Amino acid sequence: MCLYAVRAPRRYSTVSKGGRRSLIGGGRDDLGRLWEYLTRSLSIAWKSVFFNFRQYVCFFAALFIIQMFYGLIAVSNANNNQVDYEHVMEEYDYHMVLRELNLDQVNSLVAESEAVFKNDVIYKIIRVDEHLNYMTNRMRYDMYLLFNGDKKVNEKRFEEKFLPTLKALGREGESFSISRTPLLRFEDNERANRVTFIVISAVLLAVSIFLLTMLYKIRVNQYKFTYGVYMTFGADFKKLFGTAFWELFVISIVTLIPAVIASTVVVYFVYRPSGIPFRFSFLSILFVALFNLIVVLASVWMPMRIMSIRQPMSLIITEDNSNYVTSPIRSINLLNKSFPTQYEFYSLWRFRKYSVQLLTTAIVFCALFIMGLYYADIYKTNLEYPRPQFTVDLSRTDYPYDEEMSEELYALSGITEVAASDNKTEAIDLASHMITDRDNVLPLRNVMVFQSETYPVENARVTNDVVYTGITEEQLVTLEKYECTGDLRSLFAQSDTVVIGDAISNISTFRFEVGDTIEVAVRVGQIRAIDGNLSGRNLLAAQIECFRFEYHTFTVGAVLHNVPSGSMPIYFSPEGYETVTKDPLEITALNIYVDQELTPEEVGTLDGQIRNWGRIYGDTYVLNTHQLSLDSISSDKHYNEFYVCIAILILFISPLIWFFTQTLYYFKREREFNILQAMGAQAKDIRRIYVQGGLVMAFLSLIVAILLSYLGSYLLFYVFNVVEPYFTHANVRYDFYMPWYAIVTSVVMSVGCGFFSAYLPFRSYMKSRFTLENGGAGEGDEGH
Amino acid sequence: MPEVEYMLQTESVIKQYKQYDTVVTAVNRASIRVEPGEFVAIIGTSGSGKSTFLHICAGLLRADAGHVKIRGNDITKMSSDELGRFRGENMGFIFQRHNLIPQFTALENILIPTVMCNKPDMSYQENLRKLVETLQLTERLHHLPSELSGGQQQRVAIARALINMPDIVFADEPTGNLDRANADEVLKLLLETKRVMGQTLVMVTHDLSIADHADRIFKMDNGELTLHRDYQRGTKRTVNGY
Repeated sequence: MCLYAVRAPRRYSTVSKGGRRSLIGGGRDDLGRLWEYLTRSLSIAWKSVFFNFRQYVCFFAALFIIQMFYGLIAVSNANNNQVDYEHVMEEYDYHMVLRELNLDQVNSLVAESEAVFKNDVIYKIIRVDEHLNYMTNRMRYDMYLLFNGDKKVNEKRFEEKFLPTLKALGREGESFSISRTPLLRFEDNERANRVTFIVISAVLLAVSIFLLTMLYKIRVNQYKFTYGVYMTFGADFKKLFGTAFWELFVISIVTLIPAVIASTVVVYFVYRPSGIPFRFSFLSILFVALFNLIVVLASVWMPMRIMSIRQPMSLIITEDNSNYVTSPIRSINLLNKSFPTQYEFYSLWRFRKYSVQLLTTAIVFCALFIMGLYYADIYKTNLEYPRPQFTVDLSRTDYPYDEEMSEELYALSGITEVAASDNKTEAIDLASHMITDRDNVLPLRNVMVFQSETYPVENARVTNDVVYTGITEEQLVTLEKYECTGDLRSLFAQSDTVVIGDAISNISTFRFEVGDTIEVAVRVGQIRAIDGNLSGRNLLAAQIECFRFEYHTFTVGAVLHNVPSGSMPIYFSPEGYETVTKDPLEITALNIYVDQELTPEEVGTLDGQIRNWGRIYGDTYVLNTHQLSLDSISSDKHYNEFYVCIAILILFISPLIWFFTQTLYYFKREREFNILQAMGAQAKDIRRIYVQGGLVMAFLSLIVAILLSYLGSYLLFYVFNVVEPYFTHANVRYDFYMPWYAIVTSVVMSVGCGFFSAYLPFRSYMKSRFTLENGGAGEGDEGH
Repeated sequence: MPEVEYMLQTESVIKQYKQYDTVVTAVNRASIRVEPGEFVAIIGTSGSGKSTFLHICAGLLRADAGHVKIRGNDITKMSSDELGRFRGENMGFIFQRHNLIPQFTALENILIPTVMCNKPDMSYQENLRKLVETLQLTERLHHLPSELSGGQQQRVAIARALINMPDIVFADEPTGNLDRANADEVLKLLLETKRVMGQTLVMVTHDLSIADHADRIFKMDNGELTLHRDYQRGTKRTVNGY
């Protein structure tokens, strides 16, 4: 709100007071007034902004950045559905596969697909594969179906109408399976894209509102006097808010199209390598405009609300005394003590509120930059994390997984790993726990002290956040990919040897060494009942007190350092596993991982080979998770690249805040410097004040930037390693690290901004001062 | 006998400030009643609390206790927004230091209240013409405050206070920063516009020669307000015939 906040009339009219333009009808009258209000507000705001362009440069830049990073997401969102569609269309021409059908079932489905009435034909048969079941020596059929029309509706109709028939046609001991392809789930992907879009929008909205509110607060503090005058003459919140809003609205209209164009160009170049046709939706512009509108409304609301409840006189008398700048009188008293060094240190204390606000707001964006990069890395790690392409269930056969099966599967081209998935038992499910020496626990880790009257052990720590895993020799290969200290094969040398992880919830908690011992409790009885409502540590303490245990001592043969795991894993030999769980190790569920470079056709071939292998052993259930296809879709959405782009854009917000705030701050202090000079301070003293202020801010920036970046990144690390798995049961391990290049960038930017945002106002101050004093003669008395 | 509706009525207004550990009572149980069209002057020494009292009467500061009523409307009970709107529609204020917004031209400064109260373009044009002519600002309308003399700046401030034709005008030492000639000129214009528009005028001043033009003079001493003179019962002095 400033220079052209009022419109000068073009002429003095003789129309009497209360005169009104004649508009026919009340509705048109209202529309007329609305139109007049809009045009008048926009016109005033337009003039105000462009006649004071320099004051608003910061807002132009901020709104451009906000619109651009949201534009990246909006434009890419329009392409994500296209990416999904292109991928699934490329890989699948069917919605559903029915496996292990008998001939009657096949005939029944064929007959239905040839119904006389077209409306009854809800699917088309793409192909039928036949194969021999070795156990029953009968032919079996896999049928690939494509639903007509609304595939979701027809899928449901199929399940309701045909599945009972198919089941009825099955013979005893026969079963068929159904699997659905991503082509059928395409709408789910669209929904997931929408949810991702909404979540990212919400996060960016919060960041944008924070940024713009901070900037507007700084500006509002500069114009308290003006607002005081406005309020004296009738301005209420609505009026203050309206004026401020229209100004930012005008700026955002100017920046909208360039920002959308810039983000579209970036998205185009990010998508180009995928070879998928780029698509631009005009809805993106609408989304950015709407986002921008919400940001502007929300950012202006709070500063204006606060302003409107202030008393006008309290605003008017602070003409030269903003929130940040207090009277220099007390500082002048210091003049004879140690000027300017001590004086400026004292100033730092006087303006501590300002300094803290500047440091936290400006540097929080550096921290957000690092967090953005770290999050992009988390996203990439998650994307590249190996997940099984097939799951195999042998439980309905008479054959548990063994070495021979392992050799057969590894002989198939494209399989990289076959891992057991039913060889784990959580200690908590057995009312078991693990005891270890206090020295094996890392400092500041929250592991419970072991206290037991029946089994006293000194300096012991106990946890039941442990998972017992049975490992056979052929499965040992699945552990070789992890960082390891010691010999994995020692597990089979002696039955009381274990391989152990060192982390709980992916956070390093223990420092085991080879040769250390642990004790594993096996529940053998109960002394008394425990409260069924207990959980966590209370439950563990009650179990130790109320249950009777047998403790088995195991020696650590190897330590694994980066195993992804919620609970801490302890790997036992089959004998050891049976000792602690009382169940023999029998593997019947497998996860099969494949080479990430396989083509869809190769995955299809491997699918057939695995199923053929499974039929040798009878009723083996093989599920294709379509993981490679899903990974490929996720990868082509390029979210990690966009997160990096957004992080970089956020980084540019930091200098905006530095220079905008510091320029206003030193501008406010110019009167103070004039007084100091009138009292005898020399130009070099004033320069020292500026330089010292800049250096101190640079030093503080260094500390705060590193601290905030560390805290922010650790927060993300904690959320994704500890909090998220609690809800999603995901088993991905993310490492905590600080990207040094980002830290250096962030620190250099913060320190540079801290110094130069003080030094440049000094040059401006000295220049204007000497220009005024010497009629443009220059800095003649420098150093006098 | 019908009850008189006062233009301004205050009842036991108290305002205190805290300075370090000391509480200073700037206004102590000040009560006043001003009738429509009346000119009331409040005199007192510097720091006596007269400006604070005036700011409270105009709703620019909140009283700690007591009531302020403008035409029967208790402004101490209004919310900030209600008070803002009420002030814009019913009151005008002239500051000692004129408080013109430096970036705006004289005309833009004068029109601020019309914009703040969303007055339609046509509704203030006639009044603006009269004010500009009366206050002799026609040639200076498009000048910035820094390009105007002290007297001209104060005339702009007067025009700004009167543009919405308020019922009551509060003036806080409007001639305090002017030399005698300019002070007389401004006072003459103020009284002329008051006569033409018929507003109630409440003025704070420490200049007795100016206060003498009021219908009544109140004196503020250490925050306490007392009636000093009542010219309605005697003869008034005039400046240049007004």
